[in-house]
Amino acid sequence: MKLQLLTQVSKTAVWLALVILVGCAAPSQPDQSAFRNSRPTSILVLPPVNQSTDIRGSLSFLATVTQPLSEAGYYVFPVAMVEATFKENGLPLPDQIHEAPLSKLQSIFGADAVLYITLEKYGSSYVVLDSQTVVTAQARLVDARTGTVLWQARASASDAEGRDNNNGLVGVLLTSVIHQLASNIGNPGYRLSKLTSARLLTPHSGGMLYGPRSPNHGKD
Amino acid sequence: MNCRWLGCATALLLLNACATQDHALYHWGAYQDTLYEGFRVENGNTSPEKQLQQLQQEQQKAASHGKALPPGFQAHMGYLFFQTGQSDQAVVAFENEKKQFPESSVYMDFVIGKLKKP
Repeated sequence: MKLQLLTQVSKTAVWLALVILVGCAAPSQPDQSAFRNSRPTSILVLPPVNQSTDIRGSLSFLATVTQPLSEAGYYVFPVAMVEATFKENGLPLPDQIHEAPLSKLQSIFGADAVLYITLEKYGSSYVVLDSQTVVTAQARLVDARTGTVLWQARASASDAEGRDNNNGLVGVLLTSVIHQLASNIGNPGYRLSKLTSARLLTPHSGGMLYGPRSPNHGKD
Repeated sequence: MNCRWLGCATALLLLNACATQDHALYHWGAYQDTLYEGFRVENGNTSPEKQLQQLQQEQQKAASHGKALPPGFQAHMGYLFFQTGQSDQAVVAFENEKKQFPESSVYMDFVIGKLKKP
């Protein structure tokens, strides 16, 4: 009995050790010295370049970036007004805006850093019994004075997450019907953009750093 | 047993929601949804007047909760004032954005300069 307990304990210990090892080995910390030295206080988010076929993608995603970045402690320029400013100045398309020289952006906005986002996926694909919506975005933060890349990352969200636990065809059919109904109410792309934005832009170890307006600034 | 679990889970969710609210730096309400509605291309987007109304409601809520308005909020109101032909109000809103967030000064001055040009 005692021996059994011991084996059990040692088994657990081995598992724990493995988990810790994996935890240590997995994410190699990226070099964040450029980001730390640049100390941006404000971020100009440019309208995202859209590689998906859904034309709503760029602006739907743009509507979701202010909250995570502001809560991270940065000043975020008013996204809709910024987009209108570009239009008025002869740059209606995100692809053109992303090509604009930093010096020009500096003179109009006075931002410390510029965030370039590319939407790789935005929208639904229909499969036999269901539809799946995916939003994937890639982002690059650049120092507005020097052009140095401070940080880059990619994040994704899918409404198929957490839907895989249903057993049997009836379950699948039911979820499918409910899901397709729900998808028509409101825009699932926008909902998933919020999630992708949060995953992409919320500070975490090796990711986005806290800005000066956050009480966590300098502690990460 | 199941019910008890459900109760626990709900309580946790509620607690979680409260905690998130308290830690937020700003009052968000429907601000981002208003931006999204304003951007929408299908079904005719929400009019600037309607958006302005929504933001004014959020402004009151923020004040009653003692929470700060988020970055860009007052500037966006200024933009909506401008779109609805209320240029004086627009300038006031841009000045307010500048006061709350000096980081916006260069851009707000650029916009105010354009508005004041005859």
